[in-house]
Amino acid sequence: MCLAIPARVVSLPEPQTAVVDLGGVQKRVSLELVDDVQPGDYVIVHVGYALTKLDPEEAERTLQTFAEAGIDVDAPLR
Amino acid sequence: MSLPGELTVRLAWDGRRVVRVDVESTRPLIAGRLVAGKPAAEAALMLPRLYSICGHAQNAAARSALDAAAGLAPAPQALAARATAVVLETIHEYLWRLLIDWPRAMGRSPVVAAVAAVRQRITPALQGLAGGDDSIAPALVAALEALADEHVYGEPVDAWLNRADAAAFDGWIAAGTTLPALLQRELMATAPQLGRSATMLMPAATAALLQQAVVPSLRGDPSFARAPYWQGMTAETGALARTRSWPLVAALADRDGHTVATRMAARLAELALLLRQARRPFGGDGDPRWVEAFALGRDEGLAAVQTARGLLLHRARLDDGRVADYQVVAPTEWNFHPAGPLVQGLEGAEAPDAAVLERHARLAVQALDPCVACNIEVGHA
Repeated sequence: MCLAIPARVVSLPEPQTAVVDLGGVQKRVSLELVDDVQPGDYVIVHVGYALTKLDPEEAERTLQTFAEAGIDVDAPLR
Repeated sequence: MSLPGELTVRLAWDGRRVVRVDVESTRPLIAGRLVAGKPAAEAALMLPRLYSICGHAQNAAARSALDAAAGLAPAPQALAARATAVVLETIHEYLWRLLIDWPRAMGRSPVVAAVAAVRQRITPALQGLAGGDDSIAPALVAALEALADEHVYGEPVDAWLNRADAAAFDGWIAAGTTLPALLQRELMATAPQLGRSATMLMPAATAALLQQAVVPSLRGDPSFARAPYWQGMTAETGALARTRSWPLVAALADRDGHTVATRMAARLAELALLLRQARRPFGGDGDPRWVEAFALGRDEGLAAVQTARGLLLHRARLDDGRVADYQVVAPTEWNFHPAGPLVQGLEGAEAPDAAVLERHARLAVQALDPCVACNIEVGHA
């Protein structure tokens, strides 16, 4: 099932589009479904779209939860 | 490189037809590891945070399984709130599938603005339900219905639900006034038999049936959560399984089989039924059971939630108020089972070239709606 791993917004190459970083993998996602996203923000991504913007504490807490479960998102994934 | 939780569907193609289908998954089963040893209340808060697209269904499942394990009977309002959130989330997911994913899979422009409008309205309502509301505002339901009338059905939901046989549905397709009607028309014209499988449709997951068909293997077979079966057989879960008795869906399944087109039609029918059901409060005696939960014994509980993608199971076992054992079985595990409906539906599929095959496979995947991203690889046999 789809894990809600927070992805960090790296850049906004064009309107309504962001490049996000998820465990060292960079992906382009659409921003059409979220408002006011800036580089450095964390978003939850699902098949090509950013779904939700997280506040930094929430993102930190969620990343910690995943790390506890053995998914270290800061380290590049296999 | 693949991220955790992706599916890869590999098709061996001999230049004419598919001779072999393999499904590989990198989904980590992390729930059990994560909540082991945690107090039940803490586990109930952690579990829904792990999942991005069905968080409310996961919340309903986690709370219901943990309540049942602890021998607690939640208040009727809490149960109504859980069921309402699950239904609202399903409506949202269906609009997303029909207006964004399906057009994209068929090379057409999605109607993203309509889905964005739905999200803007549904998100606060879902937060309200998580925060103590037990119902949703009639204005929200009316707005969702108006949106579906305009973008999905091209007519009022009730009028569409009156289309009870294949001819009435064909009339709707032929008129083709909305994007889903147009896509359905293209699908029927180009690949009417695509994805056809003979996999059993999962029966309604009542407590009594679950006890008999699922619980023994869920408890005893460690591989069950990755490759589940229903009384020893693979099963298809989701909209088609749930709406099989609805006259239109039954007629289409009878005429065309369990194809991509029939699955899309079932999704259209269930969305209309949900919008109609949402006009009044949930939890009446005759309502379908979106959230089912019961104790399996002392300190052990099972929850079965009907999500947009199908049956979601959570099983919890507690020891002195802490989680001793926790299992989650997602609907994707049934539909993308190595011998399940996706694999069956693509085996033997004919395609003139690899590009067409890849597009067809994408549609077959889309019709069964995995909860994770799915890669498709075509190789020569």
